[in-house]
Amino acid sequence: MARGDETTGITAFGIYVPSMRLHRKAMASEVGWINPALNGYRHGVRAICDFDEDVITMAVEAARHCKDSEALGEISAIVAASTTFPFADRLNASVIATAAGLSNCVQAVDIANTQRAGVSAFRVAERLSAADGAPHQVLCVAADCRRGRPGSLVEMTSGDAAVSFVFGCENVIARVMAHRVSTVDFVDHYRRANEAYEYGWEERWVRDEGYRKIAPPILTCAMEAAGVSSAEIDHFIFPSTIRGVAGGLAKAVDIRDDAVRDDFQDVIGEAGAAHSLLMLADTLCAAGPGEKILMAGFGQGCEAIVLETTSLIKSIGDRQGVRALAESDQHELSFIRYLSFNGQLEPDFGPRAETDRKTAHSAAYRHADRVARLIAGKCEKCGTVQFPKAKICVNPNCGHEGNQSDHALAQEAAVIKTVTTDWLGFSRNPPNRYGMVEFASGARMILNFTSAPDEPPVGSEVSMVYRIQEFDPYRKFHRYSWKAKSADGPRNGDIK
Amino acid sequence: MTSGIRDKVAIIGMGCSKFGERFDCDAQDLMLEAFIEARADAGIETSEIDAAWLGHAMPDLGMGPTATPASVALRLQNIPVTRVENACATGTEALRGAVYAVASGAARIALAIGVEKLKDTGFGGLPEFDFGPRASLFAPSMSAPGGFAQLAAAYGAKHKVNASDLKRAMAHVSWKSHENGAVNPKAHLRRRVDMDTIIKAPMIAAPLGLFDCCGVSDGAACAIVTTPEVAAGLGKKHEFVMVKALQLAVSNGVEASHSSWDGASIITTRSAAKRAYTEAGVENPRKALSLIEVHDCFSITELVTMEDLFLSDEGSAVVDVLDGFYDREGGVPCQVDGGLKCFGHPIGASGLRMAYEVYTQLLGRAGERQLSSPTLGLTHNLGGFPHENVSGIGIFGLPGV
Repeated sequence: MARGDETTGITAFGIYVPSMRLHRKAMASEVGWINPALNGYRHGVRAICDFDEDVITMAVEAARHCKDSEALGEISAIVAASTTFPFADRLNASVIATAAGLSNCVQAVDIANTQRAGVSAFRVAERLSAADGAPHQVLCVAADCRRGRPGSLVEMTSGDAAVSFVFGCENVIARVMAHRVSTVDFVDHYRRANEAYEYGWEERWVRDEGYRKIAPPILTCAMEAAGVSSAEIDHFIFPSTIRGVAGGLAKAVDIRDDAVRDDFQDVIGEAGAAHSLLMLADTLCAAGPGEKILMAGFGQGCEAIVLETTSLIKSIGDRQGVRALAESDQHELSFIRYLSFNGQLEPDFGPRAETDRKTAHSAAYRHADRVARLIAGKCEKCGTVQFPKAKICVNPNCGHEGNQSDHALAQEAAVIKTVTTDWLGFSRNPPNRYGMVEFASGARMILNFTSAPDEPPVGSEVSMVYRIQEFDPYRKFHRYSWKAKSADGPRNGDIK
Repeated sequence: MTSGIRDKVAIIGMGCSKFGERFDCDAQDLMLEAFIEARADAGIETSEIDAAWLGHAMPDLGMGPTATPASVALRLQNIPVTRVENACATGTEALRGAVYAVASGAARIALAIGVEKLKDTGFGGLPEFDFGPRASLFAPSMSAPGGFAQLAAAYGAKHKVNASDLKRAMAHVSWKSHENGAVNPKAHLRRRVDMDTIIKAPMIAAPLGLFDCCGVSDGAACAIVTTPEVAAGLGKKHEFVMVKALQLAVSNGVEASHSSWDGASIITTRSAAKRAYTEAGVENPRKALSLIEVHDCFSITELVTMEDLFLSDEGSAVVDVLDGFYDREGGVPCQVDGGLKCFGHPIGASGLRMAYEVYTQLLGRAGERQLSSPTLGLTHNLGGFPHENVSGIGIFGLPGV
């Protein structure tokens, strides 16, 4: 199969960039005293998770924005990639799958532990879509939120983002032509299990002995396998926070300078295992038909994939690229608040923080449809949509006793009915904003308003986002649920 | 058609502890303080009490579960004692139990006592609420002010009241209560506060500032009830007050889950009020009521309650409040004792504390704050949040009214 599978390929993709921004200049002024070299990195911003976001919630957003929820229900497998999954022993892909609206019949796989995990997951998903002789729709999601020790280069250069691809056989916009990989135990950095921070080796050694020696043979092999010359490569995707690496590699394998893709270091930072795929999604936003893309991931070897766009690439329309998304919907965060979000600083949140927030897993499982999928009930007699789903209709003029059909609220538009900004109740990101929202179907809920720097007014529109609902510090458990977010800024995947 | 509770039961004695940060006291001490006053007022012995109801909403902070601590503290005579809890309506709920026991003939004399000890938490305000393993899966962690602040957002939007006018009316609610509380020796907060200070106070849950919120305090209040016949036989010489109505209404999920509720009123208060007025035979509450003690947990709650009790017309509470209709000298004086605003809100005690003020006023014993010839008073409790709650209403009057 030298030229790749002829039937399956990428049919959809989604991008998610969280809205919090940490200005590197502000970081450098806080930690530059530790290492003055950090002042050389004071340009641009990092996109980072809000206090209630993590790899799972970002991956859910990327998945939800790549296809509508009904189409996601037809997915047969999900492959998730990250180096910062919140759970080491609980299938992270299963949490993502449920919230994104995938069926219970999916195969779900986590791929972790290396910066090239995203490219590996992409490859696995692409192969799964063509497995067993019959094409399947397979979802690949990659997300990362790397955290470095304050004062480290990783802390200065990393960013948080998520990306998703669906592979299938209908409306293929790009397909894989070739894939080549090497596995080398090259320790440019490592992080032991259960450790918060990584340890890295000298950049010059990583660049000269790692990137420059390990990557070129794989890049060359992949192009040869695809039957594509380096001059034909229109887009070269090779993330590295070490300056000049991608350009140097392009030169080494004779790829044109102008084919080297934007790495968004100034507007996001490097999103770890998701970054190659994030750059690929951005490339697809800009690519025309028949263009050749060489994408690689680096980590304990190198994994390279050659892709070609099809004539259907035009069908996706004029999509918002990563830079446009990153530059919209931004909220600046202070360095101290950022540190407290990540447990790197433990402020005194007051005695209300002592309240036990234990999750009853039996109750959570019993209500999984409500909590993870945001399923309401629809009365079979009067049609009233109500949350929570009940056995007796809440409509005072109905009161029908009987089953209610499922009604999904996660994708439905909603309007704020009541709102407050609460400085008293405990929140890890005070003040806590919440209120009642009413969905287009008439269902209503009291929800947190998240990523809301200002109080959203009554009557304004919100959309649902899947976020961390509670942090249980005693049992180290994060419970997820749905919150409301003001519908400002372009949604990822929107047409320009 | 039920016959209702009107004129079947008399309150023959009441007691109320000093409310405040009673760092010197356990809940048991507070109960005893209120009980001794009520027993002396009723002129009975402990042994004459046939049954008792204890209102105690937060046993984890106070005396623990069951009614045993009340029975032990008051040295009750192995009689039936029942602990009740119904959020902020707990005190009224205890009174309801005792009143119904007497009305049914099951008890000759019954005791209702409510107590809360909130100041052993180590911090200000109420602790975080725990709604159990189901609701906590998707509900935000709401504070009490945050829950009620939403009323202001919805009320302002519905009646097109701009934020500063609403804030001023809310401030007047608190200003008036502080004026009243300043002359009540049993109140917790006895300082007058000017409008400017109220309006500019730090925000707790927008738009509720510090002075839009009631205090948090320790306290107990207590009532001894019997039939009017027994009361007359005790030689009380008409020194008693009749129960005219006791009603309770509880949310059924409509507010939280059905689009018919606008968020700007309390459905249960309206429901309980209608039934209470019918039970008491009150046709025009704005004219009939001499005084009211309502659930002013937050200024906006009191303001909205004026419409929910059908005292102010829909959308006109702001004007009535600013006109001083609910001030001490107004048409229907509200919170003449200082309200929750100045007493704080020891949850189990509050409903009985309100009844205590109505009782005291009706019997002409209110001293410096005595109103001129009151005959009929109303108490109102609202527990929970605007979208899911319990409303309790009591109407009390002089015999023959």
